[in-house]
Amino acid sequence: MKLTIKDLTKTYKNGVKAIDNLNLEIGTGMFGLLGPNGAGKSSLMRTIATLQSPDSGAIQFGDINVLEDKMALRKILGYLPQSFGVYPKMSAEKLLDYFATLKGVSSKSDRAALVKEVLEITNLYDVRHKYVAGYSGGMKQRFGIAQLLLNNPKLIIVDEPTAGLDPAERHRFLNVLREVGTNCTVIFSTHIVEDVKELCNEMAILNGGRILKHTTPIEATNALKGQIWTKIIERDDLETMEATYKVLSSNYNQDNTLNIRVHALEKPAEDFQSSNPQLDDVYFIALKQDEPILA
Amino acid sequence: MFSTLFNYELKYWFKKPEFYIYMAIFFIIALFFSASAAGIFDSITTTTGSSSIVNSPSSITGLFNGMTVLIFFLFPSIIGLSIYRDYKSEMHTILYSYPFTKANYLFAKFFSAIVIVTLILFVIGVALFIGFRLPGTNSDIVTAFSFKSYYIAYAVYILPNILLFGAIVFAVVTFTRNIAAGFIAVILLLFVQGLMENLLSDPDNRFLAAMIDPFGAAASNYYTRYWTVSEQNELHLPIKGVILYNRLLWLGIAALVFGFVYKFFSFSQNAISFNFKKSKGERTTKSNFGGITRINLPKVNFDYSFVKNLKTTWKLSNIDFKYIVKSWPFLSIVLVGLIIILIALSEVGNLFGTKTLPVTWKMLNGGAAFTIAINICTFLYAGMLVHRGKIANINHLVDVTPTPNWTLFLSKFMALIKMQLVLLSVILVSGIVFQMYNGYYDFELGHYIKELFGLQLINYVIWAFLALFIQTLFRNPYLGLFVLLVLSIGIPLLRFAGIEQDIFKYNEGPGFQYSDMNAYGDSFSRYFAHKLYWFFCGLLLLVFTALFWVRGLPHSFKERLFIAKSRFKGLAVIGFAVFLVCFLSLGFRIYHENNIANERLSSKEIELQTVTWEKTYKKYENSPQPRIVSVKANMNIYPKTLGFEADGNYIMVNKTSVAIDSVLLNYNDYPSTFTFNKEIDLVSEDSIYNFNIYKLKQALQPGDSLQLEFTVKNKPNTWLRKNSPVISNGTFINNFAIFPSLGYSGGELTDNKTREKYDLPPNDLKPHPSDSTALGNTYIRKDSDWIDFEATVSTSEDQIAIAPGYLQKE
Repeated sequence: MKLTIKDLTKTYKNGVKAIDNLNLEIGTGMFGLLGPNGAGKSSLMRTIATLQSPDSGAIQFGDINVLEDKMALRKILGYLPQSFGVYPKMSAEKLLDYFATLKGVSSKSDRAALVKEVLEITNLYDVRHKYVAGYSGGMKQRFGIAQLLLNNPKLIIVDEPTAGLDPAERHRFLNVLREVGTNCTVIFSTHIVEDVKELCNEMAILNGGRILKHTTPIEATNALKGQIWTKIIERDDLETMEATYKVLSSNYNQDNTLNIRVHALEKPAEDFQSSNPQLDDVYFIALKQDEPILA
Repeated sequence: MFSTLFNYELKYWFKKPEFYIYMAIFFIIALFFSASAAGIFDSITTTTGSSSIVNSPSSITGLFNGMTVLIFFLFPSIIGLSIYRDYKSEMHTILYSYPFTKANYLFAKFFSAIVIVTLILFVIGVALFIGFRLPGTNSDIVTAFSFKSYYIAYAVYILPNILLFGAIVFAVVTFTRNIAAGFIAVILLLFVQGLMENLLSDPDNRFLAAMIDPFGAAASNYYTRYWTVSEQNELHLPIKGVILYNRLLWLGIAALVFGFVYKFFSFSQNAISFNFKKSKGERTTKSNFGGITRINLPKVNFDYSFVKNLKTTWKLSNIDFKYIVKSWPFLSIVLVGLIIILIALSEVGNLFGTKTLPVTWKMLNGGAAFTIAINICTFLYAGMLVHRGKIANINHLVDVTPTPNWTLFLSKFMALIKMQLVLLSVILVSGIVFQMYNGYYDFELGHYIKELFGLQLINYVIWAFLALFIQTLFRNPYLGLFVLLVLSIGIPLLRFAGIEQDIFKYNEGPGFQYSDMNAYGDSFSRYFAHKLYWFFCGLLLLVFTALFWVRGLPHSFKERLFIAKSRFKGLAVIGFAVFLVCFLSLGFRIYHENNIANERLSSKEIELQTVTWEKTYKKYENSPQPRIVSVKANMNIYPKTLGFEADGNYIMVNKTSVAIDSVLLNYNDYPSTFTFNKEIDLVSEDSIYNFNIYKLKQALQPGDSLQLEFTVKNKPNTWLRKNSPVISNGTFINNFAIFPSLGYSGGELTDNKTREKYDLPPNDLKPHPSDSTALGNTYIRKDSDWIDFEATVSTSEDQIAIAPGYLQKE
């Protein structure tokens, strides 16, 4: 099923245009939504998840008009917000049973079987009697995935799920997500480029409420082949370099020199070396192009 | 550092809309009280006549203190919030690592909150000042402004009180990190204060009572108890002796409480918790590295039908209900309520020092002490349940599930009703326990159940409708709670603003009475008619709750109005229309009965009638009248239809020394006929005051007699209105109630200030002990002395007729 977003606009009361005339088509599979903090990712995802209404525009998923028939979407929606809490003094098992009820599983035995399965998938079965409020960050995030799976969703929206997870937890989380996402639409927002590179077959870069680029990770990096150059410079030279070239990123080396990456169609100077394009480069180029031109 | 923190706190409050809402609410309340005390509603309701000055120093202290008690309910969300805010926003994790001292932090938090409270108090003071002087108030009972009376009220009574209660709330919230705990603390303190006042009401304990009343009212009462009206009007409250000791004692306790907070507060990340079983620390390691699982969800049935949603509603209400009964604010309210009930029960058994049997209806009367607890729980938990998702930050997970809104809010409504059932059972259980304790084993379970879970429950359910709506409308549960408290206290007081009919005041209506002889009698149908009427209003509120229910992200009020409008279609419109029609038609039926089919007089109209009555007929007060010497009465009582028919015969004799040419007949508002045995003309017939004047063709000479035959019966009863004093078992009828009397009957306005307003002379003083005219009358009536009396009474077979005298024939 395909998610189509047309001319979506949302302005908040404080004047921030969180979504600015946004158009997007998302097919089956993992879709990565990449953008800096405050780009409008959460606003977009909350709007798709029926939690807020846009000022104008339309969202269609399969044959569901999302803005008109919210209930129809909710039946096949799995949503994991950026941050969520749980009722205190309720165990994972109890809470999942509660969510299964809310999601329309009426038979008690069905619920029990379903809850057991999602607990096993997320490796929470051993701690199912513990209060969720006492879980560590990673466990709580896994609980979030568990509740999301309960209605066997066709559209899954996860908002920055890997933020703050340790590497092991992050891998585990992404694996589960990948497994789930093989035959449904998963929209996955992050500001970590790595996540997208590893998982997504499609991606979009979002900033200031607009889609800057809609592509696939491989296509995007391929398009930049031969256009990325690196050089090691002294810290003091950075300002001149930035003035002369399109510097995408700069990192410190251990000896206090800097490693810069530059975008240019041809080799900028003799001492630059060609480098394999990374997804980071795609991201930075897209953001740079969107920067307002200072007069 | 102190001033930085302090100023930051103040600025925070100045930017909050709540601050201005609180000020506005208190301004209006204070204005209402002071203006109505000063008689602003005199033109639409009864005159507030009194010889006491409404803004005398003692009245101002009383009024100001009364307002302060209301402010205590805001303390958790002002003083408690000042420190709770840092926990809630998790600012404390950063703040507590900053380089300021405990003293700076605590003092800045506490005193900034006290300043905010003081500003609200200042607004109250201003409102009182304005209220007394609004155009339309009665300037006779308002004296010149005295800054000193406000100042003493504030400095001697209010400031120490807010410091004390503030310190307690501050301590409770700081250590529990829970606003509700602060709220419960306030309620408990008020309960305890009331309890102590009751226990120490004995005059022997006056000094002790004056010392330990935390409000200081008992202390000032210690001196002002025997003040005359003019002293009350003019003197400032003394600041001496026990008042000083009392104030110092409680200030000291406030300081102790604050010192306690200072000593035990630490900049730690976690709240203090009590752990009764110490669990051994255990080292935990991670074992879930990598691992790829195949996802194979079991096939289950998804059901989105109406019936399934109903089942979900029930299940969710159980979850919410468990949350309520397990929460300790609830438990502590129940516990304190139980104590209060038991104390109340031991009081109702005592009738002027005479022990009476602990029968069921008495137990139920004593249980009424629990009413406040049930209402507070309803108001509080309506807010807690409506905002439960938001408080736990789980609401977004819930809101994206395919559960319709009605399931969500109806489940909360049902949880509230289940809670009310539990609270009502507390009354039942404590009643039975008390009966057993007193060796009384005639438990009328049916009566308990009928009254608690029938008559009383519907009353609380109607409040639950309002509570759910208000708490949905307001985004802050404590603001919602406060508004609900103000409404529940304020609605009955609307009477003073001239709104007298029950159908205009939410959940008001005639009550029910129970007696062991007559059970609930006819009070039943009127009670239920009104409760049904308000129940429909509650259902309307439920529709509004549906329209304003927040799903998803919080919206501005404008957006919510817009959403409400878009939701107003289909079932919502049908429900709204049906409930509105039921509400209005039942309302109109009651209105019709009380205003159109029968005459209804407002208290203002009654006051004016009393004036006219006096002005028109007072002149006949001393006109000589014959005196009744013999009465024969036939009284037919119909307990089945609650009606009566009576006729009677008076023989009257002119006992004066002058001829009497006219008879002044004073009768009751029942269909009546009168015939005299002498030729007589009806000169004036007054159906408003039921006062007729007859002129005899031939004057009644001294010693002559006159006979009057009369009949009287009741107008037919309707299901909303009873027009007779007859009840189905155990009717008691007084002759005044249905039989006529002679002469001007008095019943004048008594308050001299009010009389002055209507150009009436001051009240007659009580007659002198040697006044011979007054001595000529008994204390009961002026138209007769000892009489011959004969009565024939008929009634249903299962009743026994009783009348004065000796039984001649049965």
